[in-house]
Amino acid sequence: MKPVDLFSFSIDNLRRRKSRTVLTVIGVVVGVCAIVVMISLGIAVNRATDAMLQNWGDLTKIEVVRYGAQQGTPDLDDKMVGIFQKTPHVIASTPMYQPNGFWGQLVGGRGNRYVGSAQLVGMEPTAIEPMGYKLLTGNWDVDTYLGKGKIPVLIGEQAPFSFMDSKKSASSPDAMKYPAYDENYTSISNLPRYDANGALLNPEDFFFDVMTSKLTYRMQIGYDAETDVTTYKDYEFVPVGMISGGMNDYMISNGVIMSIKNVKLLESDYRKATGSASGSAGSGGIVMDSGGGRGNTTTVKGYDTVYVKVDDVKNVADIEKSIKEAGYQIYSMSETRKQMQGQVAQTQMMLGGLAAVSLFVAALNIMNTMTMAITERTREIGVMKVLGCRLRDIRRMFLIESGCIGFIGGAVGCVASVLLSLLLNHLPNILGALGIKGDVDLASFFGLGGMASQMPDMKLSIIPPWLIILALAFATGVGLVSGISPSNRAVRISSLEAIRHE
Amino acid sequence: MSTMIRTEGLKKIYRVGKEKVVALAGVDLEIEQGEVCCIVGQSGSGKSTLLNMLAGLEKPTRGTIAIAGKKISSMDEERLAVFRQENLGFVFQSYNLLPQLTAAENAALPLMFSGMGKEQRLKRALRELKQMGLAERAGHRPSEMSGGQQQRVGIARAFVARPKVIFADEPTGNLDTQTTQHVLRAMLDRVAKYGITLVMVTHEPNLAECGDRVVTLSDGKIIGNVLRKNAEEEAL
Repeated sequence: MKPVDLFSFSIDNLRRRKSRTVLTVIGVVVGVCAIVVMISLGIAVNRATDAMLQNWGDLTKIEVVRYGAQQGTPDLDDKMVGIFQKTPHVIASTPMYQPNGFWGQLVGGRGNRYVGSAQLVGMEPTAIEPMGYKLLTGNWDVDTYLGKGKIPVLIGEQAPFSFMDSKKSASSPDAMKYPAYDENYTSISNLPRYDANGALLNPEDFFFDVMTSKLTYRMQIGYDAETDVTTYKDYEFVPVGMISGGMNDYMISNGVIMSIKNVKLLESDYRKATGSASGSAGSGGIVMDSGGGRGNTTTVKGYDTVYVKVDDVKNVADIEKSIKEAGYQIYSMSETRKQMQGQVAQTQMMLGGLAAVSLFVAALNIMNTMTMAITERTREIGVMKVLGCRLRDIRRMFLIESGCIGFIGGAVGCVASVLLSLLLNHLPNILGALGIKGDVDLASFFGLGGMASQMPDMKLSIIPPWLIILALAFATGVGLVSGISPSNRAVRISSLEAIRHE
Repeated sequence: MSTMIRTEGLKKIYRVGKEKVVALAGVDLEIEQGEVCCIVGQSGSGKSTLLNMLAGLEKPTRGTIAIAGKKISSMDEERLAVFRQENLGFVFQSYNLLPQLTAAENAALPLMFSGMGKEQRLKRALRELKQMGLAERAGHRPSEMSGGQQQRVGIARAFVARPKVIFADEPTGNLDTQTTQHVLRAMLDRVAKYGITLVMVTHEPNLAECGDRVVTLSDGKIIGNVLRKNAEEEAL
């Protein structure tokens, strides 16, 4: 038989027993709906968890520290950074080194009137872009040589706000655009604001355009207490671009980022100028030259912290494991995420199990319906056999019939689930409209209490397209499987018995 | 003329509890191509069993059946189904039309089973119905037709695939005398026209008169095998 004939035959038969078909389909609809909605709740909670963690920090970034490591753990130095970089799935590895052995300030604007205190950050030039920051203007290239005394830098988007007007009293509210303290030195929360998409509000609201004016870094290399004269060494900082680390990467958003090589250059210049090693051997700095200094035996070589960026969240765990095995400590959002997801998965499994029971009942229902249909049609089946209908066609005919019940149930179930999901997502509004107050805190239901308060626009239920496709396939599969035993029964019907049956 | 159906030592024994019931006790039969063979006998004589076995609906306990040179007694169900599609037609006593299908769709069923496209098979079914005088009923369902009309649809269905052999089990058993004449005439005309072999079971002796060969069964044995080659000509 042609497939089109098989289908029209099967569908005709379903149509002949409308009420029975409808009842059986309803069973499937309920089962599919239960499962889809359960899964959608879990997806929604997981998405919310991810969004929340995303707010806290990058899921694919691992912070590696050597602090508290056992003896024999290799130094967290440039060599190690290179080793991390070469690890499969690692797309970038860099220190974020803030030199603290020397002191200097940024000056700029007309007559170098504005003085800034932004922190210098040294990074591996090739690793800055892959770390996932947003380039607002310019380019990433802090590695070009621009001439003696000139250093290419990336400006963190909030760094321009760190400038103070030196012509005004430091305690004046006008001395800074966004002062952290008022005139009485009480802390005020007056930081630059971000909008919902993470873009800085009023970005033009600073004293001068850092990107186009001449920017000088004045490193303090000497101070004569008697004459009260400070000596400086000046460098020209040439901004190549402005970047944003988002709301969470304070170090980047407020910093002046340059190549680690140039930070080392500044340090060594400082040492040369002052004749000391304090520029680096101090509290956790880099030892540029282990032979120098005053023979400090407790010197920690290498960096305090190195950041490793992984290509995909799913590879983070493996990388973390190997870094831990090397003896380092790590901090990452993935750990936290795993625990949260584990909790959600557990609850989801339990509810999914209940939903599966209802689908199982639906399957039994299909089997029953099909068996009844076959018993009723014994005679027809016999006649078809006598007229030369092949056994495989009879089997297919009934499998298509039961598969159709599953498919239709699945399709209607998916539509119902989508509607239900819409209803759930608008539950607070609906309850509000009905005058009922109350929060629906799904997160606490999944054992992640208090999340709803952090995510005010969190969705209760999310149905991605793959879930619809999966549900349809699964429902059809359930229909087909339920039809196997009844259709075998149909095949076994003796044509002779069937036509005798008066 | 060649032999269309040949049986050798055909036996059928049913077990009813501990007892054995012999339905057929060794039947040797040969039916020529294009012959109209009527099988008659008392109820319980084994005539229906013989027909069912000839049509491959029932397996013999012993003995062989060959149709058009093919030994159907040793075919499995799947091969038998294909063999039926290609070689056999059936007319039932109780018509056995599928209630959800129209007359034309019913008549086209064997062609559908053998995989013919819808347009082509309905065209052929319609031609068949027209010859049975049922052209205007093609779109009706069985429940909207009289017994005689239903049986004519049944006959159209049997002829639609141009089989080599048509088996008919009491085809007029449920019809009144006048309709019987009508239906029988239609069937015989078309068998003669296409040179199809017809094997018909009946318990009415006067119906048997129209056969070229009349086989009489009693207690599972052939007690009469009369060739009435000229019956048709005599009647004319």
